[in-house]
Amino acid sequence: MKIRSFLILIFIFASFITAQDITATTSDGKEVILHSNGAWEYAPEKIFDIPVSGSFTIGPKDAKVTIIEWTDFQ
Amino acid sequence: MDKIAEKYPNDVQIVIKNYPLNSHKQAFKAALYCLAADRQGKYYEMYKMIFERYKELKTNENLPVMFAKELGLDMEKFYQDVQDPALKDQINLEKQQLRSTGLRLSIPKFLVNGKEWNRKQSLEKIIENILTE
Repeated sequence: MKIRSFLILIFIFASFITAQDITATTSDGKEVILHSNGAWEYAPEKIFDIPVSGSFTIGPKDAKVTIIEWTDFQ
Repeated sequence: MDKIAEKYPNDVQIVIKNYPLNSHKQAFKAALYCLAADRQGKYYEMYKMIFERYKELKTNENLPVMFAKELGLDMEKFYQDVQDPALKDQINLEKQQLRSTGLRLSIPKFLVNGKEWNRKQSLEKIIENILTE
């Protein structure tokens, strides 16, 4: 009886694990969601709130568009 | 970026953050020179001058000192500012800000209104779309 209960628990746990979506990253850096039914989609685009203060800026602070560029001299 | 700034003087703010890669030995110092020039209102001038001759940095990492003189900066103040730990802290903060996004590390990296620019559309096209929303 104990073994049977144990096997049932294992089955439930395994079903739970396999039903999970998997998030993966493509070679070009895009995040995709792989669903358990074989379908996939691009993950929603993330929006990052990066503080601007202290960094060099050009243009008005209340501009409708803010472009942040991280740069290196290379 | 010059073209963007010129085309959208009232609608676009451009923020330049430093991410000197460890593999580019002179890059961190070059970023320090830019921030030191910024304290005399000449960040962008210094930035552009370094970019135009960045290959020469490999053999002369103090080339920006010559640029500072050409820009007419107060050299005593410039040398003092380059040594200021606050400038190093600023660069390290800016690096940390990019790392905190978890985005794949490739420089240059751009965010447009907080979203990564994947270069599938031109910056101008994205800007136009935002402005017409």
